[in-house]
Amino acid sequence: MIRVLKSVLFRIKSRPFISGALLLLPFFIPFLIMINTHIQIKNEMLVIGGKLDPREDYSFLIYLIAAFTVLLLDSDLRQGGVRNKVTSGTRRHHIYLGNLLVSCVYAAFSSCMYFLSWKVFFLITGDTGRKEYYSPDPRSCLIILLWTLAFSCIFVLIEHYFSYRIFSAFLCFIMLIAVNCVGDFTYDRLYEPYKEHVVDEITGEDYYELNPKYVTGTKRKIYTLIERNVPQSAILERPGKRLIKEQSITTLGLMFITTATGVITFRRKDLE
Amino acid sequence: MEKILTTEKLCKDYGKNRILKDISLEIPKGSIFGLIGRNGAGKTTFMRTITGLQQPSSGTYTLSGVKNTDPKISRVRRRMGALVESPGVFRNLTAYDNVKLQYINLGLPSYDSIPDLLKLVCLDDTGKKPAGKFSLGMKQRLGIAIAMAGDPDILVLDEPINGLDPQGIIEIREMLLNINRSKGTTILISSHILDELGKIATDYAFIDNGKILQSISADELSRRTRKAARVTVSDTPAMCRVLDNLSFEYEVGSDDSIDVFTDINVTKLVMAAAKQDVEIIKIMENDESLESYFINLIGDGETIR
Repeated sequence: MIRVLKSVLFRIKSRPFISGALLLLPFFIPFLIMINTHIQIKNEMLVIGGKLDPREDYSFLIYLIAAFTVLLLDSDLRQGGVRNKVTSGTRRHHIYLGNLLVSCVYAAFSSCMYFLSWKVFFLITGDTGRKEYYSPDPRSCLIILLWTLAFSCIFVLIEHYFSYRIFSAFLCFIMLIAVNCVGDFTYDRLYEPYKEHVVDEITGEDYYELNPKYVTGTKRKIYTLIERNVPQSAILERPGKRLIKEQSITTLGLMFITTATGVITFRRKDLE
Repeated sequence: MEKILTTEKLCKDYGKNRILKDISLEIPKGSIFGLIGRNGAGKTTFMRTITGLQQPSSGTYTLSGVKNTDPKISRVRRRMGALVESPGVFRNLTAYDNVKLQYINLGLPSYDSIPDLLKLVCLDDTGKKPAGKFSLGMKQRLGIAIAMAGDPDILVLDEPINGLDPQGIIEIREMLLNINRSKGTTILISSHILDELGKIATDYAFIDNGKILQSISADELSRRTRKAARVTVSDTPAMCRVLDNLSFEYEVGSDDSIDVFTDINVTKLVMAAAKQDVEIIKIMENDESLESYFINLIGDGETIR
């Protein structure tokens, strides 16, 4: 296992500087967006009703960071690196675990870059910045980090299973859309009002009646469970003790299941 | 002779198709073992299976005394170098770094021998040039250097001279002979270019349609493909006496034919035979090459692509 890690790290070290610098994008992109917004507000080109939340677009960013780090490290599969490892006695699941571990470390590093961008923004803008943006709770950073790692695990599994970069990227993209759609759908259904305001067209009388779209019973419980466990709602929620516990269980569970699936699969499956 | 690799009824299925059918082979230690077969005969699948890239569907193989089902096989496999299909070369790395990466994969503590290895494959002067800019021949040689990392006991090379120019082919041939002779490394090699294989192999196996048709030593093969005059006669024992008197080298084939390996004067032979009342029915020249031997063996006369 140590040999595999050494091998992956050697390859990363030997990559051109530019591919390493790409890992810093999660710092520069949000930072530049926030600075740009700050300048626009300062110059009265943009008016905001309340404070902005820097985490708002993070549900997309966690997939991007995870997919990006996985794709950055995948050249083993494409350039015959796996062949060299297998024929020299490295076990397939060790190769998978090695790449998984390094991908997770990179994903964690990229996530930290994102958190750092907030910190640097508030350092530079001071109180003005704090009036424009919420300063996120460190506990929500933990949730973001866990979700990024969970998605990295999923993407590494997909990438190793199919060994076909374009298909893997497509599948990751579909997953991104699916998770977002499910999140938005459950959110909309759960926040339907219990009663809706109705105006009688003939009499002009207005009254409240039960909203048929309001979800009740088991269905509501299922929707609540989904809504609390999709990343985009979880990372925006105020991180209480209960949420952190729930999210930790979900994400760590996902990581465990995907890793175990990968290890069991690659013990048997012919990689490549 | 000690065997470094033996396979026993090795089979590999892809879905419902059986690609390897009960392959039983013995590869002697220190030999250069040529695996000959047409495209799709199962050569690459066989090599992928014994190098661990694929699991056999049934049957077993034993590498340096360790069965493939034994957990120790991973350890033993570190003593095997392989170049199967295209060379596993990282385009952005230099020749040195590509070999170094394989040293890391093998867990070797020192990289001191890398320059010698690169010298052996004539890539010691490539400096910082990335492997992506190498010619096909250079990549093949680098692939062999990677396979040679850690001084393996057995080298498995699948079509190592594919796509090389004549100069490149000669270089690879000389290099493999040098490796085999200087280090005693066993080499299992497949190639379409049978003439080239004929120049280096000490043993052969002919594979067709997933089956081993014949496994034969180079000596035996050269004996069988030796230039000879096949003389068909009415009385074989009497003809043998004639040939003994003439001091000709010969071998009795079927009941009525004798292969004579000496350049013969037909008139002299016919007269000598007539004196002993032996009737010569037919004289045919028998001059088989490795290629024609293989084509005769597979039976359908198709040329090797």
